[in-house]
Amino acid sequence: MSTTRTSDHRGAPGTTFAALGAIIKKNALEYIRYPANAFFGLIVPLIWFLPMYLLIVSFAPGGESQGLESWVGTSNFFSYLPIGLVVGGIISTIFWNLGFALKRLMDIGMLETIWSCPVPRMTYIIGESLFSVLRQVVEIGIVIVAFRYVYGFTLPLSILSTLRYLVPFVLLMYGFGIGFASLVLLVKDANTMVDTSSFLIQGITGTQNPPQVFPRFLVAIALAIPITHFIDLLRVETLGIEPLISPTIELSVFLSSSVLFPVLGVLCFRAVERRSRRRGDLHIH
Amino acid sequence: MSRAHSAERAHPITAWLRSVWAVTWRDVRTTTRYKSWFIASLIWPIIYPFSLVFVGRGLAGPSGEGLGRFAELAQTSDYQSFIILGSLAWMFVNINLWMGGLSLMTDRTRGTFDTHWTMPVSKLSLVVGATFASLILNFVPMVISIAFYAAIGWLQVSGSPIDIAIAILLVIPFLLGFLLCFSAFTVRFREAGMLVQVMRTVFAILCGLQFPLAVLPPGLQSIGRAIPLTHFIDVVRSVVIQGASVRDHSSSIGYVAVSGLIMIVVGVLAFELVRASVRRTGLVTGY
Repeated sequence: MSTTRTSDHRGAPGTTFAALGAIIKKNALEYIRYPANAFFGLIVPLIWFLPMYLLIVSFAPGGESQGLESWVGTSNFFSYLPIGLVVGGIISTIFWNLGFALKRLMDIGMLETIWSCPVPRMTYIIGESLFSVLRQVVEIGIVIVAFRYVYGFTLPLSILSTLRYLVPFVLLMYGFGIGFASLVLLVKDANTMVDTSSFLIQGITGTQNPPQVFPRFLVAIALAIPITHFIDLLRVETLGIEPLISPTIELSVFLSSSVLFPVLGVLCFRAVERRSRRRGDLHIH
Repeated sequence: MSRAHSAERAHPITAWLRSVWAVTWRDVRTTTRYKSWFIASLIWPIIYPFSLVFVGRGLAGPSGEGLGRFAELAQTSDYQSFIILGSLAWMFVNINLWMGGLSLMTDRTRGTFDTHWTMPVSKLSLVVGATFASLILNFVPMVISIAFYAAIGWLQVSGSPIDIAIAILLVIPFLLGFLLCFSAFTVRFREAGMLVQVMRTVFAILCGLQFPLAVLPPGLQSIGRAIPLTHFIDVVRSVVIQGASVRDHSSSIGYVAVSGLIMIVVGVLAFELVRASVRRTGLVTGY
């Protein structure tokens, strides 16, 4: 009886928000409990970036690069790079927190318990990543300021005019991430998958360099990924660089993907979840 | 029973080598049991240098117009080969830190540390065996990666493969000694994951693995020059890119070899001291 009543409430907006709130609170408590991790979360990006910074200044002291100017029409690498780094940070967060959240639950033996909770799985998956995305937004803000003073990188103020793309981008990334989480349920070995996929996507979409430098086959792959168009749009509107393709087409691809990807991601996840329930292999690593 | 008797009768060195081999073989088997290892170990040495090469290409420009300062600092305009070799060296050190240096930590996590630590074999063999396994497992992907980059024309291998092999063999004692020191640290202080992160970044910066060392301030360059890994990567780059011979770098080669032997002695001493210390203080069990 109580089960029926509970399942009647599944997916109701009140229940969904209560569940999301509970998951965010749980993750926030975990975060606060390990202050050293929070501290290193801010310090590690600065330290890890140092070899890359030294490589950059070995080509372009002060961030002024004639090479970059030939590729895209601006010589200011210290403004060009932070845009890609911010997007790269979000890509990495979504991959690790949507994909790896399920694996972490598998490892600590909680996946089956949570799966049998009267909460829609999709709500749980989204809730698991919400706190991380909020945390990442704050951390990115702090890291951008730190990069400004430590490395001299400046994110142009005109980036604020592109904030209107934030919601479609988050939708796009969530669609991407949810589809990816379903792959983790299938393959089980999330670590290699998340690490490799996140690195490849960040590389191919040109978060650290102009996609124009890629060989032609890689440019074709990059153009097939909507994130590439999003990053290029940000750079075109912020720095006035030469676009990869027409900005109108880039915007159309980006916006239509932000509608299509969440739908495909959810459909993919539901199909894989149904398969897992039918085969009973949720608990198998 | 008869095997136990033969172990008792074996010469100490034979018994030690046997335990090293047992650990090496165990680690090779447990690692290669997972398909994802094959994927990761073959894909990463290929995709990791890509990202840095493309950053270099973005800065160098389509016709090398942004290459002047790099060429001056690195003494070569072949930035692709320079970055690929440095990135692969960094990856090799990094993987060995995780697999060899943290092998005892991995044992703790799996709950097998106490069992292994109380076995009637040299504790040193646990780390040496894990390091050999790591070297064996990661050497082949590095060779495949070099062959891949040479095949697509991004890496110009001008030197002799024998000279390259000599340089690699000579740096192994240093790596082994360093990993013994590192393992001693993990046994004593238990949590070393963050130390791996720090060490790999320190090596990347002070040894000039991914950029020319000359870009650092003179003080840091001097510190970097004291690390054998810096000499190793200089020799490898010179042999691969400029076609030099290891004999052209006799002082660097001598420094790498001698410091490697010293590092092994220091590593063994540090490890044995820590082993005695954790036994005395009862720190073997628990995290």
